[in-house]
Amino acid sequence: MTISISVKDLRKSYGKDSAVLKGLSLDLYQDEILALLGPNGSGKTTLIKILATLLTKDSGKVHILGQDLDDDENEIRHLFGYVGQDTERSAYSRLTVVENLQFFGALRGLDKRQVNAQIEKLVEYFDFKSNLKKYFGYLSGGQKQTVVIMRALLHDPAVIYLDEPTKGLDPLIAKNIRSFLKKYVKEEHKTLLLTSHILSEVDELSSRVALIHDGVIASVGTAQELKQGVGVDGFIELQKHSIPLGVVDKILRLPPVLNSDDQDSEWVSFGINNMVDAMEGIIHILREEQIQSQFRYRNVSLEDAFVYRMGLLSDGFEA
Amino acid sequence: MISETQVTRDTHYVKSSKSKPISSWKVFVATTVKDLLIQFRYLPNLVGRLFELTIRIGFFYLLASITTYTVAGSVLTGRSLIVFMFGGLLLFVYSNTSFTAPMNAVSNDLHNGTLEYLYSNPSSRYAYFLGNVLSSAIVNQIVFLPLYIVLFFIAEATAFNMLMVLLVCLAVMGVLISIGIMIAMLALIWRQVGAFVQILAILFEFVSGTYFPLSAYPLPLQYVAYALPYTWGYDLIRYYSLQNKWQTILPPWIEWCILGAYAVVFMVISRILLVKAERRSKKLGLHFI
Repeated sequence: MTISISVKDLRKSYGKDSAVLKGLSLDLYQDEILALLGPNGSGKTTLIKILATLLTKDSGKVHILGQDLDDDENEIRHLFGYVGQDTERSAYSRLTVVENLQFFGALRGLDKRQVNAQIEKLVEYFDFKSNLKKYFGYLSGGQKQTVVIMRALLHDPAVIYLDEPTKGLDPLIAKNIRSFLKKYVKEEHKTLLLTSHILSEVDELSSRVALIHDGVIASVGTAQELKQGVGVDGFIELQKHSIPLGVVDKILRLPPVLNSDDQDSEWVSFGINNMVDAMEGIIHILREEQIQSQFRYRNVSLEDAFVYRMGLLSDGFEA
Repeated sequence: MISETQVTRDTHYVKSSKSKPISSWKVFVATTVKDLLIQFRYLPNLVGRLFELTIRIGFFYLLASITTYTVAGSVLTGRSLIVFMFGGLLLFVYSNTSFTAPMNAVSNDLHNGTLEYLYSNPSSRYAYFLGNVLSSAIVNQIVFLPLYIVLFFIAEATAFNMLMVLLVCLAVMGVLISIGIMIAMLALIWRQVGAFVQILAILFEFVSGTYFPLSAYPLPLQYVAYALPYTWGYDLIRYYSLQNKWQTILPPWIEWCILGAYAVVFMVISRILLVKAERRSKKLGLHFI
């Protein structure tokens, strides 16, 4: 594996008492999609903007494809594609899609022929040919997002930064973009760093997930590893209104049941480590108490892992 | 675990990106063409600006027909006063080039997020802003050229003098474009610079002597006028178009030197501001400006 991006002890503050990154270190590899997860204000966007040369760091070392951010800033700008948040308006609304892409391509030193060849390739991926002659301002939110992603890939960069790439998009377009990115990174040997609050998207897309908390990387691993870190195999959920408090305590005393969570308005959830034994035990208790309740089983999701880790971190535990 | 020694320059990666260095000239041309396309697609805005200038020209034509100016012993009236007025308007048509156009370009780019793209990109920012400002100058040719031709016929000036008028306009344009970039950078640093720009525009329009001879102003105002590049542009235009009826403030060659010096000084200042604005925006983040 080759390191594409190496970040060491990165620090950034926006003023005296507003440190956002507090010594963040992270490596990203070729052929990898790494998702940054963290609560709002945890420093995800700040990190991406520093890597995209839009913000200066206070200290730390950053290497992108071997180039030092301190010495080779302009060289580095050739190497990445960037999609920031709020892409709804981030191209010229009175230029057509193709005119926008040609202009932005020209700013990267591409001639018309190169831009057109790349556009042709990308519109095939996105099935976007029919929109090329439309004004950017007349496109839907999803179409605009597609254009902005195409713009980021126009110069075929080795590294791509996407800050919440599918925010506000309808599920079908979001799915198309996800499938494209996955295929593109794999086939073209790219490195993709993305932030997202849609955890199902992160689960589907990412090779690894990094949890950022209080300005540092609190935990990094595959989505599977993060889920395993929750310490349960899955959850059995019962309808809240049908389960008296005493019964919840009784279920919690079963050996395969590790914890319970009643934050949801409709379901009370039991974390378990042996599905068959837990199911048998719970059914036995429900029969004994003559309770009729619907129940369901679900696997540990990335959201569970995220909430669990963030809960630990907020309580002062090391993840 | 991958050791740090593996973080080396990887030529395979660098080659895999098609992005390559681009000359400032190409950035400048691409930006100018892009901006011209956009300006012509916002027709009501363009037509409005043309109307405004036409009304202004009409007003000062009328004023010139009923007024008499006495400048340093010479009396300007009738046709020579129209030449005086039109000489002023010839440069005034470019006022939006140095003030509103760059300010609007930066505001729109900040609002649209296109500025963020520009700042994550290896191309020359100076050339980009230059392109934005120049496109406005090109659009203004629609008014400038007819005015210049009318002036040519009314002034009955020699072809040499009219060529000199054109050269003065080009020299002033050079200064204005640098001022335009300065305004763009101030807009980037402070975002809301409308009031400041308005004051500058008024100074340039009324204190430089667009419509009235400088000698008619109180002395302190005359000194303010000497600090403005337009003043010397107007003076030279009137010198060439009114010929023996106009006495320049200083010998013409000195005024040419002053204009040249202004062009150089403003270009240097605009470049320094560009670097400062970029440094500030990268420290704070464009989203915080």
